[in-house]
Amino acid sequence: EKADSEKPTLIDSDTLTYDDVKQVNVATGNVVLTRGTLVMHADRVVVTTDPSGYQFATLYADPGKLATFRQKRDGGPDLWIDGHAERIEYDGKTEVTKLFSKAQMRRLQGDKPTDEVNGEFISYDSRTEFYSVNNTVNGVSEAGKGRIRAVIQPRPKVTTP
Amino acid sequence: MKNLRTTYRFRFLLLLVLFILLALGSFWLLQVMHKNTEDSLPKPARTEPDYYVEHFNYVQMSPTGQPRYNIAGDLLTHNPVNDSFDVQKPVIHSLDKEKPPMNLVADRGMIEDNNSKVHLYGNVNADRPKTPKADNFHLKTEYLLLLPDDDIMESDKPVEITLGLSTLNGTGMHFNNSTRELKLFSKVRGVLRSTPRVAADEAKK
Repeated sequence: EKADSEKPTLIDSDTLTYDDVKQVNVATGNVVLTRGTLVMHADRVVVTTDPSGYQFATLYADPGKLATFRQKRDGGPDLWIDGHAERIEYDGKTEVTKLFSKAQMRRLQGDKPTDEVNGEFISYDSRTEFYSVNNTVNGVSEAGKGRIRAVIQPRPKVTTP
Repeated sequence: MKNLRTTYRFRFLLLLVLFILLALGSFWLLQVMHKNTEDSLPKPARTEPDYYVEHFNYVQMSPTGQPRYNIAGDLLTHNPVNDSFDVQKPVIHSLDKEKPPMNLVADRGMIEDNNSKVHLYGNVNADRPKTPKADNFHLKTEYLLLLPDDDIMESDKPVEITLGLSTLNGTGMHFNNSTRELKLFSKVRGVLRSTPRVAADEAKK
């Protein structure tokens, strides 16, 4: 949701290290990061703030586990988008969320998934709600690297009265 | 004839040694008796404070003679048992020029290890005003251990911290004011507010 960008970032975690000089804080231990409707879970989160106040968060999951994120979408009640990956990078300036390795992203109507996309790398721009999927972790598709699987549900026909 | 002289000399030496031993023995006996009386009556260890100072201000200087920090308070009592001080209403200011100034206030304090450890009890407030170099820092807790010489603050109690615009709560904390690194050890709950974008954009224009 666009309104998220103005909201402060809430962090719940087991431990936190805050470096005032480098403006970096590292939270570890089932971290929950909330910003407006955007909720992210991970095991280790590094949040850096650049001088002009934009925040960048990198979420790492312990091996075998996945970092997840879930955010409300504009344009309609109860539209959500969620996803998980081994590593998630969230850029507060461009509001782009990047999911690395074993990435999955789903659009949901309520809790019924409408579209679903799997791949090695997914980048999702929550401002334009545009997402791109590639089959290599560095965000560029290469032949023979792996298949992208996408399930796009048909839009329900608007029944004109 | 000759061996007669040696037998006399031998007997004489023997007697001489005997008498020397006797003299030393009695001297040793005297020592033992004297020492015993001293040990058997140990001085009663003094637990009550032996002096107190009212409305005091104690300034610690750095090796180069610059004032490093001062501790003021309503009442300071000295406990000879562990050479520690109890302070009522301590107020501590760091006077170090290079490092951002820090002020601490508490209900009660205890200073030990010849002023290298300051324990603060009862609504402890630490405050570092905003300086061009550092954001404002404010801490509220029930117990705080301050190591003034190496500018470190530690607590094992819940703490509420405001750093710049962000607020952080947690239990168990370690803060180094010179490297400005803060560590929270458990049950962390933080709200990170960055400088409002609008102001930041203006700064960029």
